[in-house]
Amino acid sequence: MFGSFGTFGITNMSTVAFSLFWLAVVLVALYSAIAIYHWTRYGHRSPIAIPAISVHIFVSLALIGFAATGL
Amino acid sequence: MEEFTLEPGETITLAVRKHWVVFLLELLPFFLVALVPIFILSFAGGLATVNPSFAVQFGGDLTLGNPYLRLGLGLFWLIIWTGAFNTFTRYYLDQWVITTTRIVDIHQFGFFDRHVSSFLLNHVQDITTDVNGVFPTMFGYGTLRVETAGDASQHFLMNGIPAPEAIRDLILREIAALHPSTSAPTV
Repeated sequence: MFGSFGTFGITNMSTVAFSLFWLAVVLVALYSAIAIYHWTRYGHRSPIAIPAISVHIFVSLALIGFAATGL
Repeated sequence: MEEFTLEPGETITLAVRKHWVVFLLELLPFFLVALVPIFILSFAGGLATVNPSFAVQFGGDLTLGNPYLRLGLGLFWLIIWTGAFNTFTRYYLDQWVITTTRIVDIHQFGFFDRHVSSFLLNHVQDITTDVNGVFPTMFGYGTLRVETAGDASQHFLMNGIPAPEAIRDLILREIAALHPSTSAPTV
């Protein structure tokens, strides 16, 4: 399966992987922007807000980086 | 508080969220689902060791050396992480605020869907606490139900709050302070 999707009729696996990757990145970026808006709008006075946003961005970027090594 | 404005003389007595155990229990499914690919890959790796033809059928590489596997795992965990962070966001932005004159329920149903409702303490008629189950009993959290008086009787639920009995007593004290000459509502 992995690395041999051609046998399933998908001729250009790298194009599919590239598209899926960027689709996920765009969706996560959109989600993060909305989440950050809510945290800054409703939780901005909390000492948790900035660390929570930072951890979310850090973990998301780490996972995106890990996924990108498969492109 | 941006969601509501305190009246003159009104002060916040307590702001409470769900118990941290409730949050961890909500987070648990994400953690378990995140582990699933690791177990599957371990199992498949074991099968491939026993029967090398099994690995050949799946592209020959069931380790993280396979780039498509890394891509799939990375995106899968990214989705799981986003869901888990969303759970944390909802947990944190949900809040009950008890002031000297009212109870404010701030509930984040989803993004762009935030409800803020207030119950005046002088309308409270009945307060019930419910600690039901092993975890609630062990960790001391439960449900507090507040009912208001009047023809259009309404109730107000605080689910999964820590020490519901203590919060009930606090509300009763605040009500007694509002009406020092009258009796407190029933418990």
